[in-house]
Amino acid sequence: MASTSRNEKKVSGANNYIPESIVFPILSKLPVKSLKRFSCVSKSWTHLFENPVFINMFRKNLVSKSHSLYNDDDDDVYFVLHQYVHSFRWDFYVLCGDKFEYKLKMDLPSSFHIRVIRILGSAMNGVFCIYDCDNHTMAALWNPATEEVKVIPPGSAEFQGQFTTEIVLHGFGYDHVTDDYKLIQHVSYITFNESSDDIHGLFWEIYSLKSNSWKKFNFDIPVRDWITGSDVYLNGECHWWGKVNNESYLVSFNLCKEAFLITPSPIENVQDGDVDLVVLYGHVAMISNRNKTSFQISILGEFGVKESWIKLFDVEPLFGIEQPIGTVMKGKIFFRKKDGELAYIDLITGLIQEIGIEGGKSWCQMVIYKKNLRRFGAINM
Amino acid sequence: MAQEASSSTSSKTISLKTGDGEIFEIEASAAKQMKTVQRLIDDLGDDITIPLHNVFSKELPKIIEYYKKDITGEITKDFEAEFVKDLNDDEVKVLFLAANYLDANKLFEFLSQNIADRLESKSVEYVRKYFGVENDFTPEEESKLREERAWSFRGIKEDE
Repeated sequence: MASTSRNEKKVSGANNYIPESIVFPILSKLPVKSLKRFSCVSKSWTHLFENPVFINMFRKNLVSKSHSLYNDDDDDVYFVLHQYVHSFRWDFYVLCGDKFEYKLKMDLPSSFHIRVIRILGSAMNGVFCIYDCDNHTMAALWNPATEEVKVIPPGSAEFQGQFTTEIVLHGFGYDHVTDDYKLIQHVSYITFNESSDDIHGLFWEIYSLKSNSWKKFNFDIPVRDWITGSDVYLNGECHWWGKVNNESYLVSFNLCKEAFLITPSPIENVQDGDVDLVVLYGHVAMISNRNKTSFQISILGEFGVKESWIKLFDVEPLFGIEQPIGTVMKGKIFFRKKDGELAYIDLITGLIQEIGIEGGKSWCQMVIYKKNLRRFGAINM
Repeated sequence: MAQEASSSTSSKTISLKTGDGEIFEIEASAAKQMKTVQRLIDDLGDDITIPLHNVFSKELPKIIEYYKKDITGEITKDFEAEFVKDLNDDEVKVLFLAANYLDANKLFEFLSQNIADRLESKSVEYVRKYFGVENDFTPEEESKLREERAWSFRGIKEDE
């Protein structure tokens, strides 16, 4: 911001025009909905989000607002790195330190007999939901700090010879109204025919830890587009990327109200693995084009409104970058380099930092975790 | 010599003269927070009355009040809320422009956030008037744009 233009004095009077350099600092603090409405003020205001000076200020404000959302115990927020070693052996590490340079191995409870483990979403109050990625029939809640494990009982899915049962877990979250942990999954029965597959018996079900049972629903929610796609949790809602009639949508499921909202994708023709969902500066955001060496990050300004996706970052092709892992923490986006090393880019400063750890190509998962000694009420196994 | 100077500046006051001829005193440490004032002090010396042609007797005392609190580290969310509570939108704007002129960054940032909060649910016409922006759309262009952005008008009173 040029200080000389900042000091331009404008004589007030009949013409109370205020120059852009003074208006931008105000506008950049407004929410997306207001900014989109004010695009009707004048022609130059229509293109605010295409103005690099404005976007820069808008981003900086998002960053400082999100910093004030974090508590003082910022230091307790870590990463859990989960990866496949070999022969179905999985390692979990907690990464900590300013640059995430310290790696502490976490031991899985001995009772876990899951072959292909994956973490669903992110940790909720220090509790993970881990499940078998093969067929989603086994899931458990795990708090490493209290060593509690709770195996989730099966839902209403039936398994019969004539059809294949497909269960897909969609989200794990916390209902702060009822102080409950919930899971949502989709069940369908598929009969494979020569000409086409017959899908029937579709239903959704929600698991509540408090009731330790599943409840069926007949929502018409778009299903997860691809099985290893990301899902995020933010403010009582689980979000995932879904597809219906070849159209892509962000699906937002409210765990407390048990209702959902869909937002159309801002980009057409989303293919498998093209998009990752993350939480950035307190907003649901998408990383797009992640299969190429340059990628874009857009935040969603208003749920349900396709037009309110705002592109915040255009990350140029970086030498040696293979792919974003699909995790963002405090404005740092994590990715895997061509040599297998994991690193992050600080989106505001542009600095790249290796974290001194290698990430496996297909099965590297990084999840935000905050240690919590509060027991979620399970029996130790 | 340097030590002597610093101990004398900590309790030294600077005289500021507004555009309408009134004189106000502020502490040198508060003046430091207003870069324009500090620049004038550097050029003119701290013994003479600093002329501020574009700031007037209505705003300056309020600004001085803010920085008085700032140098004692007492600025809290409550203080800031109280500070703007009784000001209408135009009064805040005048303060904001003064803070810009004085290059008083902290106050500038605070007031810009406050104005943003005030404008968040306002109508397009209100914002045009507020910033003195001319509507350069034709009626057709404007109504087309409003239709496209209909979702952003939900819940907004058009005459406010």
